[in-house]
Order: sequence, then C-alpha cells, then structure tokens
Amino acid sequence: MRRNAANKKPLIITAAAAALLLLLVLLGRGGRAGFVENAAGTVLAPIQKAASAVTGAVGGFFRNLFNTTDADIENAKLKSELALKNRSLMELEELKKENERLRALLDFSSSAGIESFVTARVIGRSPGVYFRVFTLDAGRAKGVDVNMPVVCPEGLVGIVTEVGSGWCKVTAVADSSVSVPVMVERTRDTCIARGVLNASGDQNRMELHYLPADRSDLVPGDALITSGIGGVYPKGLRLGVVTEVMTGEKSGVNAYIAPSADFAHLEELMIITRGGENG
Amino acid sequence: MRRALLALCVVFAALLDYFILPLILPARILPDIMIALLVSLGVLTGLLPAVPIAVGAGVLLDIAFNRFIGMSAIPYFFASLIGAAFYSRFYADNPIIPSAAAAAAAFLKELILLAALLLSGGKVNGVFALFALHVLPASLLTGAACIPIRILLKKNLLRSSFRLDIDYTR
Repeated sequence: MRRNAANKKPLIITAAAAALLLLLVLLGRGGRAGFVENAAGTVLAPIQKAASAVTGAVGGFFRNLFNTTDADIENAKLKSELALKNRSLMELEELKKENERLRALLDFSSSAGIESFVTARVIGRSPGVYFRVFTLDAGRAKGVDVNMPVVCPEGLVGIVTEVGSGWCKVTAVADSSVSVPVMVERTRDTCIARGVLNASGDQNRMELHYLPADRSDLVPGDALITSGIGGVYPKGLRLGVVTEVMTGEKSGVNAYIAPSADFAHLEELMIITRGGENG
Repeated sequence: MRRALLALCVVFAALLDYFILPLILPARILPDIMIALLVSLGVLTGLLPAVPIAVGAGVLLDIAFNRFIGMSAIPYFFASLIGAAFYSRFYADNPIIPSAAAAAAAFLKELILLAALLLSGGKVNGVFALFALHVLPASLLTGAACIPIRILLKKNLLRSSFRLDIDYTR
C-alpha cells in the first residue's frame, strides 16, 4: 500500500504541475500583471538587467575586436599597454555611447513634439522568431501603462502590452500580431501597416494593407508615419519606408515596408505616456 | 550540493537561451538548451524532479521575457514528460534516444509557438520555408545539444541525490 502511494507521487506532482500551469495560462492574458506575476517580474527585473549588461559588454568587446580601422588598432595597442586602465576606458566609452543615445532620444522627443515620456532600458527580449517582445525596466511606478507607444530616435518601436510595477513588456511593430494605422507621408493616403513572420528574407519586413484602390502612385522610398487614427499611436511618428510596391496582389498586400527601428540593436527607448511629467 | 548544481545548470541554460546564444548566433536557428536539459533530466530521473523544474523555470522565463505565460512553460512541461517517458526503458548509455527525444520536444515546442502565433492573429509568410529553414534545423540542433548535456548530468549530478527516489524492488 505504502509502495503504491510512493509510486503515485510523481504522477500526483506532475498532475499538480499541469493543473498549476493551466491555471496560470488561463489567468495570464497580458495587460496589467497580477500580484504573483508582478512580484516575480519585479524580482527578475534586476537579474535581467545585470545579465543584459554583462552580455552587452561581451558583445561590445567582440565587436571592437573585429573593428580594424587604424584608430582601433592603435587604440588596441594602447589598451594592451595600459591594461590596468582598460576597464575604466571601456566604461567611459559605454557611458559616452549611452549619452549619445539619450541625447538622440531627447532630440527626437522635441522634434516629434513628445512632451510626456519615460525613458527605459531594454533588459530582455524573447528569443526565437515567433514573437517580438522586449522587456523594459520601467513600469507602473513611472506611469507606464498598457497600450502606450514606444519609440526610439529612428521611429516607432512598438506598444506596451503588459506592465508590472517596475517593468513592462513591449510588443514590436514587426510582431505578426500588431497592426498600426499609418499614412503615406507624401500622398497622405491612410492605410494599415502590419507585422508578419517572414520565414525567409528580411525578418523585419512589414506589410501595407488597405491602401485606397484608386491611389496607385505609391513608390519605393515613400515614408510612412502613424496616422493617429484609433488614438493609440500619436500622429506623425515615423514607422518606415516602402521597399516594394505590389500590384494585383490577391492577398491584399499593397506594399512591403522596412521599419525604421533596428530591432536587433535597441538599448534605450522612450515610452510615450499620456500624462505626468517627463521621466 | 548536487541540487544546487542542478539549479545552476537551469540558470546557465536560461542564460544561454535568452542572452548568450542570440548574441553569438544571430541567425534564427537557435538550439533550445533548456529543452535539452529537461529531456536529459527526464530520461535520467523520471518525472521528478524534471516536471516541477520544467514548469517552474518555464513560468519564470515567461514572466520575464515572453508575451504569454505558457509559451515556455508548456513546451518545457511536455519536454520533461517526453524525457520521462524513456526513463529506465533503455540502455543507460544510449545517446540516441535522449537526443531524438530532445529533437522531438523541440519540434513540439515550435509547433506550439506557431499555433500560439496563429491563434493570436499572427500571419506567417511561407510556412514550408519556416519548417525547412528554422523549425527542423533548430530541432536537430537541440537534439545535438542534448548529447553533451546528458553526459554532464549523468556524470556530475546523478551519483546520489535523485537515485534515492528510485524503487529498485519493483
């Protein structure tokens, strides 16, 4: 009898784990994080930040290693001679680059007329090809809420889809579940830009849909900006440029778009808040 | 001590999957080290502790990185079950079965994620190309990654602690 009970222990724990998992899946559907998710996310955020910083520094080291201009070679030689100062030099360089990125963000905010925003750092990103989600180190405590647009100096990056007290998750505009109301900057035609999972070719390529049928003067190179329709994305944020115009496409695709944002190299981002002061 | 080492292995697998491999392998073909680890653990120890570790690690990683809870946890749960299905049913040093099980679990994970994407309204351009260029190579890489991971687990983590749970009188 006791042996039977012992043999059933793994099955009972497995069933309990499956039930717990099912419960969490059914309860966790984005938006504002619940207590457990919020607490876990708050604990994990500093760990993510540290891991992100370490891997970023390692990546920067390898990028510098393969950069072979004269200045870099001389720099590398000097660094080898001044090994003790190497670390502080790298830190200074990182700070300088960060300063440049933040300055670009500030310039962008003033040129785009963004008055209320929160800056945040990317501390995690979902791996794989199916979903394009970033975790940022700003949350409800800084006034961040779901459906707030997120931008970088190059243009629109995505939208906040989940928020905890000190973190939030951003779904990129190139994610295949995201649609953005846009307009062609030159012709002012309104249409919808949609992310798509491209199995081959450019992973970031987006599609343009619902362009008015009587307007066929779209040309490669045309810039697309958010139209402001729907109220989620403010009008005038740059989304990308048309790379290829499709004619007679049965799938309803009018054109392909290259997004302005470089999703692989995002570090500091700006979350456009609806109220409050600049963060 | 060995349980601490196992926890370290889980953390290191998560670091590899979410930070290091995407950095050094910018191509979209990434092995899933966590799945390889969980399948190896399931094959070597059975349902316990593979299933609780799979669900716990999966939920935490989903909270930290993924769009929905379950995107990692469900594939990890099935990976540990697939591994445990072969527990004590094959010659202990056979590297092929855990490796094939890990590849199958990784393939299942890709199918689950693809289904989640389509159910959430996503669109895929070129499903066959996706399988040929991403799903199959990633699954095979996961299977290959399982071989050294299983050897590491067998040699370093399973000498005492988890074998106490095995009932040899059956």
